[in-house]
Amino acid sequence: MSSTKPHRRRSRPSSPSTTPVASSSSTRSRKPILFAIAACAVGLLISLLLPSRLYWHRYQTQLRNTNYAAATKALESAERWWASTASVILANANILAQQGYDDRAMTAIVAAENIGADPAIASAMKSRLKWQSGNLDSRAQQYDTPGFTPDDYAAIAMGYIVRGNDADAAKVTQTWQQRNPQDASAEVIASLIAQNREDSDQAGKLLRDAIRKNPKHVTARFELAQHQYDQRNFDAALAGFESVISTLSPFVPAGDRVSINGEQLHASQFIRALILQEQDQIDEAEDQFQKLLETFEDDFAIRYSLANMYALQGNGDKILETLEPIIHRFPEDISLNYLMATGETLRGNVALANDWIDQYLKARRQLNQLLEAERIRGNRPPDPEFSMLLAETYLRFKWDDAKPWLDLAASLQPRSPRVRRGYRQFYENSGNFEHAARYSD
Amino acid sequence: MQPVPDPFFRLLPLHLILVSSSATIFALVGCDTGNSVDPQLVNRLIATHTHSRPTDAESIRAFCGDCHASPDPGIFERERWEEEVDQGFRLYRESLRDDLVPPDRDATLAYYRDPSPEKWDMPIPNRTMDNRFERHVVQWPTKPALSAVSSVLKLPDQDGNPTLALTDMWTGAVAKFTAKRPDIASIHVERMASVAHASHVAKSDLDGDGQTDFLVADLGTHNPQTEHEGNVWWLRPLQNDAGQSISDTPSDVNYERIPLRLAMSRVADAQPIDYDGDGDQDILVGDFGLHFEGGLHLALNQGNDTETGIPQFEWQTLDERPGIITIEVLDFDQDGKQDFLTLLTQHYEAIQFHRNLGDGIYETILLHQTLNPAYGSSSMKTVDFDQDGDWDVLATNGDTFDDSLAKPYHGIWWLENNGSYPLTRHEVATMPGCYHASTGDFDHDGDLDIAATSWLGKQEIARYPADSFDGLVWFENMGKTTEDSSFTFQRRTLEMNRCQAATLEVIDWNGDGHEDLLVPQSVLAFNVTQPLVVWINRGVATKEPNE
Repeated sequence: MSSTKPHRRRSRPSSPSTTPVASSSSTRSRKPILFAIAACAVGLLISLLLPSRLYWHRYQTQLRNTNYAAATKALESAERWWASTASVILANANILAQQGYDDRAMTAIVAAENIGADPAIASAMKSRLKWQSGNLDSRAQQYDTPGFTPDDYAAIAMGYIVRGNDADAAKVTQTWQQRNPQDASAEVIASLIAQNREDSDQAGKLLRDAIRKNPKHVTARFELAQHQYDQRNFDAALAGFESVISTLSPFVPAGDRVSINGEQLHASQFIRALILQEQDQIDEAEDQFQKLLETFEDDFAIRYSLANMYALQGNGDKILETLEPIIHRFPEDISLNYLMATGETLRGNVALANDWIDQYLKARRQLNQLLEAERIRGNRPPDPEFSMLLAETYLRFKWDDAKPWLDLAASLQPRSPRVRRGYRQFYENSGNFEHAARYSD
Repeated sequence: MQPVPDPFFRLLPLHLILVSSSATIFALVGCDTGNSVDPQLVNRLIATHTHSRPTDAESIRAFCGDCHASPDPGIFERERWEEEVDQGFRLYRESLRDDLVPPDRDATLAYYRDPSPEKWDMPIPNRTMDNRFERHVVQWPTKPALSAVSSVLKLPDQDGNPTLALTDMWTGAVAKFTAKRPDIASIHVERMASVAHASHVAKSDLDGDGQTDFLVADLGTHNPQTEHEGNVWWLRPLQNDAGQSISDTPSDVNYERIPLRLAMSRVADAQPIDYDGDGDQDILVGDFGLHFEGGLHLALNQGNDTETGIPQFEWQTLDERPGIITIEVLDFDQDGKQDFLTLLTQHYEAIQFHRNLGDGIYETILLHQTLNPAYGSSSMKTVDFDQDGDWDVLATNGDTFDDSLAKPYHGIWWLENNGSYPLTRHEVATMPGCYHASTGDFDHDGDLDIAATSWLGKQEIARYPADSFDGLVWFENMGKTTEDSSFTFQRRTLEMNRCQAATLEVIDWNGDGHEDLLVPQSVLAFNVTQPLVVWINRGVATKEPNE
């Protein structure tokens, strides 16, 4: 037996049974190698293409579930696995469009078109953007003819809602439900219409139907949880919010409460704390508030609600500790001043408590006068000066009630720098700095 | 001979590909991290109460008669019932109770609405216009002006002039004023404090220094709401030699406003009482609240703080039911121990006697309760009305803050104390919107007469023909027709169509020996200033032709 070259030797001793095969002719031994190479190539191709397809599939699924954060992540992964850039941008545009970010969606569609996206798809998306903003062309009005996708129905229905035409929005939704009976989003839109009609029971029923069809539908669960909370069905609401939290937490970036999912997650966590407090689960409620504060340290609503809980518990030190980081930002706020007075009273600091109470009473008198001014004004035609005066006074003493007056002033004088300043302050107070920045000078 | 790979190794790449592909597929599809939804949470979320909704009368009565007595369909006009029934279902849901079987909503509505009156048959009272009293307006000379006086408290005066304290529910003012006899229309006002929405003021000596101080109950907010802004204040006289207040109260105020308890619900009354018999003053607080908030609270005096001299209290809740609007502390059963009475509204509509058994133990005894949850109990006052030596109770019902509706069953009545409970009820008169009543011997005939005032919205008054409603009345006690019968009354109307007084006080304003009526006005609106109104008893009445 001739010796073999060391590099061709296997470290493993050959088993007797393999020897005959191994000693077959060189032609015969080349076939498995070629096969192996071919298999490797195919495998490699599959390995490279499959993840992209699978991530794409996940994107579509998550989009259907209105889990936009997860859909975005899936899309990012698909892009890493060499999905077409144009398709990815277009898909991103779809996510933006479904969240109502029309301008950004349009920019993304144009960008995708410029790098070779399918013009038909891009055109359809542009139409949907137009429709959902209320610009319903003749094609949109023929929604009961064949050829419309669920996304089309959603956009047309939203367009009618935006135009305040709930009746036609309901008709579109009915058609959508008939053609796509398993699409939970149709029920969610229908529930929105029911809410507009102040039919709370019907809204709740539709949301339940939506969840039965698709339990993963985030918006359906969130909206039903809100509905249950409004009805004071706390156990059901708590379950709903916890399911939303569990679904969204892995995907929504920390600190995001501006995107749809970010807002849903934040609201779910916040209301969860309120419900736990209602249910006398004070420690759990406190934990939830504190977790929220880890991310939103200077948030008015969280600190106010937590301090309020401490007030009901009679814990003066905690009230002051909770409000101290934000009181300088809201020196005239009626609720904070009252809570500070409560805290000082509980600590036995009568003089300090009286100082806060004087501030509180000043705010109360001002707000009472606003109510009276509103009453006296009655049904007279809207006056931008009066609306802004009210808005600015509310911003000083009870900023969270300022929005309707800002909206009214904005509808009368949309370009007024005073209105913009009001909005900026309102959104800064609410902690939505991204939105506030839109009103910068 | 060259070694050749065995089949395993030859197919190794394929194996690897398959394994890695499977793993990828598994990772992407099978293990859908963050996308799974706990089915238990979903089931809880979509859970609906699936039990059937009974439609029979018995089930409806059982459901609607659990928190209070099952109401009679006649307590509301027909068109009102829908709102009331829906409110009942809403409140049950909000109560978080699940121990009752809610009936069918439409059947419930039909049960109450169908037999209810289409419209009230609002009786025009059989009245005689009074000419004994003469109306005088007394302007309030300081700011803030009066707007909605909610309580008046008589105070002693060393010169014998009428001296009173009052609270203004709208402006939050607490003030003391003295009439300058013999001038009827002139008063001297001393501001005591400014709070949010003052509802009641009571005399006290919480720090036990022998000097009169005051307890103020403060609703906190004007309209019922869930925010907890109700307060209990203590007004301590400033020491003349103290030089300055520890708070920055204005220099013309002679009282220091000290918060004893903030962040309650809506505090309607606060009264001092030596609850535990240890010689110092504790506090009873009636927190009217809202639906599920409020209650009867007790603050036990733990002694004065050595630095500030402010009494410290330990708080506890005696009764979690909301709705108490009046507390009266007195020895009701005359056993030498301080008892107290409470008027519990908000659908309970009960007058309760809390009998002091000693050692801080009290027994609650029902003196009177109506089965009508919309009764609108509005005031309660102890008085020996039949002058037999024990305490009776004079009471009114006519509160319309819930629905703004005058009701034909509003009125004045008194509870006779025969030594057994509940007390025996006697009607005085119907008076829609009746808010307060007080007694005095207005005609100097030796028995007690009754004066009553009403508080109704202008819109509600306008719904009915003119002269439907009395605003101020006194009821002349005509005595008993037989030994066993109750008193009869002659209704003498002082004012019609203007029903805007939440309280009144019987007082000899001009010092002529005849009891007059101080009737401060109440209008809940800014920049609407109200004078004090004094009805001077001229001591004689011109005989009417029909008398």
